[in-house]
Amino acid sequence: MDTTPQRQSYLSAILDVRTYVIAARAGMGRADVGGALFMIAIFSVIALVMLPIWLTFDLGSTWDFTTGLRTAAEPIVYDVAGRAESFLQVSIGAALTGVIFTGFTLLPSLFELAFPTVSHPLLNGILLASIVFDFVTDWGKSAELVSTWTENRVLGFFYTIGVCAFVSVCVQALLVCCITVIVFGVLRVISGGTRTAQAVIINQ
Amino acid sequence: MPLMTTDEALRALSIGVFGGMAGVCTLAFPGSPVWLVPAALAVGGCAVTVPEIRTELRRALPPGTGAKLLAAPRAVEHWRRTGEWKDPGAGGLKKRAQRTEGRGQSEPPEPAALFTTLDEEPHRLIIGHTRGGKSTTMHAMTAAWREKGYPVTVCDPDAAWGQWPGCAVAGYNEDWRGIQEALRGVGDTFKDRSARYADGERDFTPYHVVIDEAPAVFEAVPGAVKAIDAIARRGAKRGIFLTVGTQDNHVDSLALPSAAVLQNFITAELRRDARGKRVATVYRGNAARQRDVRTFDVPVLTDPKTYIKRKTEPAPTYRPEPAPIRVAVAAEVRPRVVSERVPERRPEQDDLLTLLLNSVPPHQDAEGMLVNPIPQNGINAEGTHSSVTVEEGGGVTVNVTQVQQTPARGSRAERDAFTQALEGLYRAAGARGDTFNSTYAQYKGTKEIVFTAWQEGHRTYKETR
Repeated sequence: MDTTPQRQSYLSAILDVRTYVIAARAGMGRADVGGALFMIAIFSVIALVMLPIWLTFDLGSTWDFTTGLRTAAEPIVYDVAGRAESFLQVSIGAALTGVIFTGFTLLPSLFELAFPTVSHPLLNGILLASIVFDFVTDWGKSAELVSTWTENRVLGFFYTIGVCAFVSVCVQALLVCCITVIVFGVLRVISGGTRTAQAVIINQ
Repeated sequence: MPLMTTDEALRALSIGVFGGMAGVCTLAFPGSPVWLVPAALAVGGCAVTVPEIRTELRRALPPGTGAKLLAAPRAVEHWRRTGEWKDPGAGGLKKRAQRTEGRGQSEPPEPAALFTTLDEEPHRLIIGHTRGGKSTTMHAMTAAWREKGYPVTVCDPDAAWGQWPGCAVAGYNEDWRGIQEALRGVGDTFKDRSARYADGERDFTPYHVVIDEAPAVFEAVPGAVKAIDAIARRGAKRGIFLTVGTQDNHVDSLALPSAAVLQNFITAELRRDARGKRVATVYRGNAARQRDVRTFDVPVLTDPKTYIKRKTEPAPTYRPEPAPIRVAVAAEVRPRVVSERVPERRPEQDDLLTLLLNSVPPHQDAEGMLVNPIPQNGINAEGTHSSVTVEEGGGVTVNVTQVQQTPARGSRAERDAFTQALEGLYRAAGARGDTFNSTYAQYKGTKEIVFTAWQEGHRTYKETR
């Protein structure tokens, strides 16, 4: 079955973070070292502003929500980590535990980022469930914030929908964009910017 | 592309409302799994926005129980496109369900979607065997473009009189020369739009080029493949779109230099299915690497034959748009006034020519006088003569030739000699029966003097008759 994303509207195009990644890669591919450093600086500042918001309203709230799930899975996760450590003779147990526990929290967000628009039924189902799950987990913190704005419950409900949508979609997308630009910018700086091509030509 | 589809709006609404209710439940009943109920409703609401799931649900539900509600998104989309509130699949669903029952076939999308899908890509390849419906499909699409006011050029070696109303048609009775001229005209439009594109213009009126029986055209018309290849690769940016009808899309039969260009086309293969109904398999990419394959019912279309009229006058020859004027300046010196007859030109070419001639700035001579270097159909003070030639395909060549020493700047005797020569020309023209206006357009001069000379000649003409 074809899983090529089908863009039907501007909204789906805007939410497709992959296009930003491709654009960032293409943009950085042509940048010189100075330009890349400038972009890294600008996008680092944006990422620094977005990171606490995302940690508080998205990652932190999901972490809190999945506490029960983590607690239930704790014995088996530590068991797997212990076995891996004894088998490989390296201290990866702690790292593995951290990855698995963080994975619980990040999984819905990762699904949203990995396949925002798909036509495969299973992936589509997982994506929808992830979006709803993320929305529900983010609700607590968002409602807490909204409660400082209004005491009207109905109005607060709709405000919270907006805040949740903003932190679940916009902040996350912006953060991914910033990180992508920073990563490709750093790679560009390391590889010497556009001067590399000139040097190769001169050498030839 | 719309800002947001109806399905996306419903999805957002479902997540917002039911997801919000689930969130409220997590706060109101901490530790309780009750939040899963509205969360499941949110996921379910999202699932219903997937057209395939919605279709399956409609089929599973008894008629009347929520089926209309499930059809609402499609009706809304139809309303947004056409302004008419109607479910485009209504009535057909039940029949299709009966037809496909027990065969394990999925329901094809609604027929109107075929043309919408084909219009999504800049270029289209319509494949079908003889009497397979290629021309009918292309005819329907062409009619839709003409309704929107888009110019359409049709190259069809089997074209009949009146078959393509409103279009510039080339190829009546295998008129390969006419098709070549038509493609040359398309090439001129391409060049013109390229210049405008370079100037920053991006908003071009869509210009559709339809080629039926493409392999025959490519084989018989020199340069056709190259022209089509260029449009397929770069035409979309300039608002020039191709629709090619053929019996197969093999690179050999299409005589294309490579299969890569087929990636720029959306392909519709027309055939009859097991029920005998005409269907179109639509895909992107080429035959070997098909992407996004979908099957559509081909709607019942008006037969192009109904437009064909009995020929009462000669089939029109293709008239391309006026080509840009090219100016060739000849440096040779001719001994005397050259009295070439100016061929007939179309009004639009006259306009272009005037524009061109006026665009050449005058220069100052040694005495500081302004001199027009290119006069129109006459001899100027500098002794420069211009003649105009209309080429095949509508091109115009302006030949500018230096003639004898300028009489205006010569001695009195030389100027008199020139005036006498000019009077002689008018006298001769009058004696031949030429009108004064046409003669004046050719030779110019002071009207009071030359008209007298022309009258003398014309008197002779009258007497001899």
